[in-house]
Amino acid sequence: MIARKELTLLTVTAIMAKMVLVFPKLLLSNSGSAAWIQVIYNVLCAAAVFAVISWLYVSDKNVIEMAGEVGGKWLKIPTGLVVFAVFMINFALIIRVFPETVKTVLLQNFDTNLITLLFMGAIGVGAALGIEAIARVNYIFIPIIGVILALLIVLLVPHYNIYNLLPILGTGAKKIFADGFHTISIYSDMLLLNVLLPYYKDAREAKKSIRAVFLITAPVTVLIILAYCLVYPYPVSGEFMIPFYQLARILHLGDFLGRFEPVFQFAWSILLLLYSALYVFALCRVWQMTFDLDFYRPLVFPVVIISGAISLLPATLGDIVTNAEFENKLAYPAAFLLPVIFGAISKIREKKRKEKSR
Amino acid sequence: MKKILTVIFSAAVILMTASCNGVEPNDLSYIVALGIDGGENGKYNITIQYANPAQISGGEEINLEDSGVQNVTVEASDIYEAIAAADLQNSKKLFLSHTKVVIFSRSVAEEGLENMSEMFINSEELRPDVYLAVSENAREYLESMNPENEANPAKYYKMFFDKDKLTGLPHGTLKVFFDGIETGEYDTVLPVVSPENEDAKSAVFNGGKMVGELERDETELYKFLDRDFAGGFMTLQNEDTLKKPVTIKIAQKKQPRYTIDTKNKSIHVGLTLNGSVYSAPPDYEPDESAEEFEKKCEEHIKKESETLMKKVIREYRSDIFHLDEHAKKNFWTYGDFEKYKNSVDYSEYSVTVDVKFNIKKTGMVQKED
Repeated sequence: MIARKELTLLTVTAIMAKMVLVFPKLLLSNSGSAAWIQVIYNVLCAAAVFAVISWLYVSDKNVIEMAGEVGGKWLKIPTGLVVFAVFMINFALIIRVFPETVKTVLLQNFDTNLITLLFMGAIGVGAALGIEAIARVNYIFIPIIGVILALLIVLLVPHYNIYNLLPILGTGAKKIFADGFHTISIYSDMLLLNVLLPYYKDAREAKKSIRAVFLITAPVTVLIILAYCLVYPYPVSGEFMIPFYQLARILHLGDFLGRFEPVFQFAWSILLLLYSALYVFALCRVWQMTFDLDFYRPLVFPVVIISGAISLLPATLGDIVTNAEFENKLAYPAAFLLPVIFGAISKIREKKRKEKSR
Repeated sequence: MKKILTVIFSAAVILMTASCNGVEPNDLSYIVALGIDGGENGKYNITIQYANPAQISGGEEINLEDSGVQNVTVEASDIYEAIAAADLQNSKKLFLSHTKVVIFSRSVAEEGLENMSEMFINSEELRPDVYLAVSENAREYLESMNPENEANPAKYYKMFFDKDKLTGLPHGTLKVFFDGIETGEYDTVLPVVSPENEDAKSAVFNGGKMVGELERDETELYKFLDRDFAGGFMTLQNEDTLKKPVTIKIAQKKQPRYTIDTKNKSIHVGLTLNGSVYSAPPDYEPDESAEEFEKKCEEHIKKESETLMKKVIREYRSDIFHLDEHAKKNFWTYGDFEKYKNSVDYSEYSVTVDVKFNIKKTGMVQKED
């Protein structure tokens, strides 16, 4: 049995992994110096959506199991495939960006294919070990990563320039509040929490988990973007592929300790390995549930190969960012709508059940 | 299966302990400074200064007359071509990641450093906090360097250029320089260095091009008007102490306050300085005439600051005082700010500097503002 706090931290990992890769670039390209306002707006929108889902969703079963109950295999299979697609879209971006960035910042003389191969092997092993192993390793490392993150934000204080937040509305209110709505997709990983529902004691426990995820990720997300906006002025801030790495680069910890990047790279690699192992596991579990298979482990190898192949579709790192923008728009409506639809169904069924029992 | 995995992982731990690219730290030459002088046919004469580990690591073999650094100059289009060429003259592989300073010759700086700064900032090896400086001849400057009181050349450069928060040296890192060019919101001032390290002058840039120079006094005033001044000493003279000056330790606890009135075309700067008298002639009693002395200091700094600002804005047409950046608060969006930035001409603006100079008297913690 996995504890609720372990499951909560797994979802935190899923959301934060995006923040340390290309997500800040999407925010900055859209609203410039007002990216921090956009991310607050996104957090508030996501909180509203999840308040609705929490109110509606009364079942202890996840969306795929619910779909099976409501419409049999004719509804269960399409629902499972949509969830699989949403996860794959979220995940394929990471699986491609990680080896590319490792090559850029750590192993310049290594071939990207070799790094990708080693990475896929590691996450495959992680996924095969199961959710308990991933959750427990994650539970050990997330607090360490949190401390490193807090340290980074505090150490950057001398580099903050308040003028970098001006003009206060950045590229304009329309950009922030209309076009910027799409970046609510950062919370599309919350669908993971729904898929992991069978591992919770009941739906009430999962709802507590949602609240905890928001309480942890909302301030951290806003602080990362705010720190980046305060250090790098727009449009310079929109130019870097991995903003978080650029923040680590400017720190100098004195002559003895020197640079902060090794600390950052440790935290970053662990976070992304855990994220990827979790996603491979989730993809296998979704497939297993969709097609009523007895075991998920035989699926690990094909899922790793398929996700690796999909991640190689964009030609360059620049294309990945463009694709990420498009894919985010594609993934988040499904990630939010499925729990709303099946939540509403569960609410109606619960109401009917209560009426019957009376 | 477990046994096989244990053997694989144990073998990996034992065998994969070398550096991943097969280059050991002992096989590297650590570059500490680069000098870029103008060359022929669009190329540059690039001087690469690298540390001499035998001289900086301690031990009995140290010859104090030998330098802790070695220099090699090659003709190349950019630093990477230069390093590749210099590698052929050196048994060890040159390594760029520990570079502390890049010195440009005046002629190269006057031609413009936009492309070079962009290449530097995108480099994975060079850090954003690398110092930039200007010298008449970068090669001569680097070749004359033989740090006497610091054996480690990287530390020497770090300590030398880290004085930028005190009077004298302007703050000129790669990040500051590149951000200024890329955003177009301010221009940069870089330190001017010479083999003898005589007067601390500064090079004024307009975008990526060096357009003028500030003398030592002007550089000190610029530090007051900039936001990075922390503290330093200043020697002042007035009619009471014409022959023997008064030395004051100055601290700037409040940042200068800039007000840019776009309607009336005026720039106003509010400068608050705190000082304490460090030395004065025996016949001069600073406590007795403190208020009068403060007033005279204020007038002096005001007059000189206004002259400096007018000179830089009107003559050099440079925005080293971050006027565009200060004006940003008047606008809600980038669109509006960009329109303003592209049309504004600060040379048409009037400049006033109001100085508040508080001198600490004996027995007081600090005079109230």
